[in-house]
Amino acid sequence: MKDKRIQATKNEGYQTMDGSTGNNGGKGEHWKEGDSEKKLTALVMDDPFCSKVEKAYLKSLGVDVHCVETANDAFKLFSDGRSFDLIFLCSILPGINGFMATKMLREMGVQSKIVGLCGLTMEQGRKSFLDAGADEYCEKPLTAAKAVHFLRQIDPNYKPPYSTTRSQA
Amino acid sequence: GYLDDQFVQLEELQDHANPNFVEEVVALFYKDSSRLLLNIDQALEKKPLEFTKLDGYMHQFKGSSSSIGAKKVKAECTLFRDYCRAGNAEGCMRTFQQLKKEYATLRKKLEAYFQ
Repeated sequence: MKDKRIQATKNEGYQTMDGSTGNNGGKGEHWKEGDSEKKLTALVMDDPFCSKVEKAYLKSLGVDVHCVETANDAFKLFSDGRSFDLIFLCSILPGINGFMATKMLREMGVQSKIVGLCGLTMEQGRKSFLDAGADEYCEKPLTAAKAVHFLRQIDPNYKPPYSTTRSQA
Repeated sequence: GYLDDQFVQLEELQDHANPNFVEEVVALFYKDSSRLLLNIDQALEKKPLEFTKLDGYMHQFKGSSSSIGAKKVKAECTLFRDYCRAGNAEGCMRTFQQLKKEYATLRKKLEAYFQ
């Protein structure tokens, strides 16, 4: 029986499904010792309009972004062995909603940082997402400043390529 | 104004690699919002009103209007949701009419932006 448990990428390395570890801590072939340019990866699970905006912000911050519209598309990525540092997940998705998707991702063994996203205020949305297994919540819109906050939680050395301090948080 | 700082940030994301970014985003927003507004219109014709369903549509609409920086439209969404949660049908209908007005004005402003 194929073991479907996936270890998502963390800074300290990863484990592939057959148990082998990358010999450089899973940081990829183009990563060199002392290279602080390692790109963080993000999965965005949202409708096409919001994804476009969210992806643009994250890309401008030097993040590699993949977008999907449904929870099932996301599950397939993880079953195929893909991993991401960060997952942004909208509560409203066609089919399986964002809260259920969060629960199911955790059940699949995904350990990436999950940030729930939706139009609800912090008080309204945070608890539902955290109860489902998310790590954080962000009220839409996702802005560069907010994204930097989450990227720094994954990599304390992360430096944005431009100043986001004048952005509305 | 009708567009808040979020719209400015979207403009800043436009560059040589994404020369039509704002236009594309706006086009997607129109598509998304037209669909949602139609759904809400149709839902408001069913009596008694299905407040949970309406709240769901409006929740989505709020998310997309805030992503494009549509400040006034977003404010109407919040108000509409408050009425939904209070089960106030008249409040919902009134707010929706106002929302459609704000949305129409927003589209005019965006069109002017692209000329």
